Amino acid sequence: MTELRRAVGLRTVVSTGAGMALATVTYLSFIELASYLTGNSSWIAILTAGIMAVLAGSCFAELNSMFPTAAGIKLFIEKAFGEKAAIIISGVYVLGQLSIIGAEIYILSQGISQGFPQINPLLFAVVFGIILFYLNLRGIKIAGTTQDIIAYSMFFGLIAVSVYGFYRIDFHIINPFEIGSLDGFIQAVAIGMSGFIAFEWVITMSEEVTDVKIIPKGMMLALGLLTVTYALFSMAMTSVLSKEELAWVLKPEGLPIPHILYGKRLLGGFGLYLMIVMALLASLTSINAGLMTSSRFLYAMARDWSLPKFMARLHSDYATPWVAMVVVMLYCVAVTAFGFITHYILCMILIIAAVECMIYIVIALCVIRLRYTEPDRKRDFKIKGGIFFPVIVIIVYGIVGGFILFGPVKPQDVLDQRIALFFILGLLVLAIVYVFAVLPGMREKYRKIAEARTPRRRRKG
Amino acid sequence: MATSDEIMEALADFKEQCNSNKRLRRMQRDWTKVLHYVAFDTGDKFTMTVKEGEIISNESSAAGTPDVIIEGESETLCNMFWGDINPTQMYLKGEIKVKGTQEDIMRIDAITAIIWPEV
Repeated sequence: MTELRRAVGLRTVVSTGAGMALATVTYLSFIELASYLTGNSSWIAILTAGIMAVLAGSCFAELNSMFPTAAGIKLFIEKAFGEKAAIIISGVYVLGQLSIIGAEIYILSQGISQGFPQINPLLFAVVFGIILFYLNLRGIKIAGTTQDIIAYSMFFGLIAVSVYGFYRIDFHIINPFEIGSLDGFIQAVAIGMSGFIAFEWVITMSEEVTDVKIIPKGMMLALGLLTVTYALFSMAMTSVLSKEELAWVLKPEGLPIPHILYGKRLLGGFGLYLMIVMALLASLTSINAGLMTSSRFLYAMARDWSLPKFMARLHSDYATPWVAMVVVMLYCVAVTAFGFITHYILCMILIIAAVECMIYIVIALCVIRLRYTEPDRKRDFKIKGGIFFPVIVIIVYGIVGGFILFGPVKPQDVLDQRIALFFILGLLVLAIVYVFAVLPGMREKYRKIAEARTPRRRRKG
Repeated sequence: MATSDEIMEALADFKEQCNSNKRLRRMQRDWTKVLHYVAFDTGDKFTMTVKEGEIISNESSAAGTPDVIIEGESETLCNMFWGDINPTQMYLKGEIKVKGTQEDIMRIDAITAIIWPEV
């Protein structure tokens, strides 16, 4: 087989998978999850979430070894359950995941404004949004060596400031094994899952890698790196910051910037700006990749006649799908505005955590179904133990997903939980109505246009 | 099944369509790539060389180091070059396989979207 001129190796697969998952909103998630535990044991919840993500990752890896393509998730679901299910589920998944951008930009701009208090955080949000739109319009993607440098620097930085934090408190961690009630622990794990959001997008690199087998390996290494870094950083933050500070960041009248408070406490002004820079890099890499992937997903759906064709319009100079980008950006502006107006950030974290649960369950179902419908298709990676682990994924994520949307929460979190539930239900209803009421007529119209065209091929097929 | 000559004929037409489209040329002006096409049912290989958005040559062999490799059945490839099928639909169904960056895959699809928007 001929090799590509430029192919991506394991190092970049790991940095991309881990880099896309690491976002600024994750730091707030750590404080939120810690509030559901009685001791300083956030690491246990994060480790559990990480192990669960590895199980889900193995399902992605098996399907990716069968269909190694950027069209990934939609194709997996389509092969297992048909096109309608694929459009509904992947639509809810992509739109649900994009909700994180509202929380991300809100938290990022609030954090930056701590370093530049004379400027309104809204201005930072607008400038950041414009920069992201411009990067996407030009098709500028942070990738390859740049991605490696940024991602590994961020992880090294987070581990270093965590260890320094432990050093400052003489490695004295209070009750590191005390988790409290089971309900609280499950809710903590559920919130911790939001830290692993989008690691699975690494499968979109399937067509760029030197060997497709490095995708599952890279995915697992990325999850390991994320788990270790998250566990250390969350423990450091919750150990160094006072209970009052931790409670304040979770209140609507407070600011969701625990990482900034932590940096400032440890290293003063330098720490403040260090954390601002790290948050900027984290947001830039994760949101830029997220926006690009989402807009190209919409573009591909429009080209596939699954969305109106105008969404496949291309920019005349940059060959980028500008209409799809505008649609994605408008959606992001709406969720960001929601964050600025209401200060309800937890609901966005719950939305993405619930959507992640949904997609992991669906992917595990796809693995099981395809084991029966396509038993002979080549799998470079196959989960051992028959369907045992996919079933475990379905059960575990079913429980966690149920807890996210229906489980017991702190009184102040009830409204966030309701918002998350109705938002996801709303997306689901919209997707179902679209697929059954709008799509058939639209497809028929496009089919007639295509059939009216005389085939150009000069021989009879 | 399409023969190598039939695919070369389709490639020649594709080249003409692309190079005569001013909008496409402007859009792809910074795109210089070597593309390999592989018909996995016949084993035939083809090379397309693009320089600054202009297709400068098509060859009926795998020449040079490719930036992108596209695989599909010979019929599918032939129909694709004639503009009689939508490559995205084939790609999303897994009937066309592409190895290359997302940027390049997007550019290749953009070509057909521009010259045959009705498909």
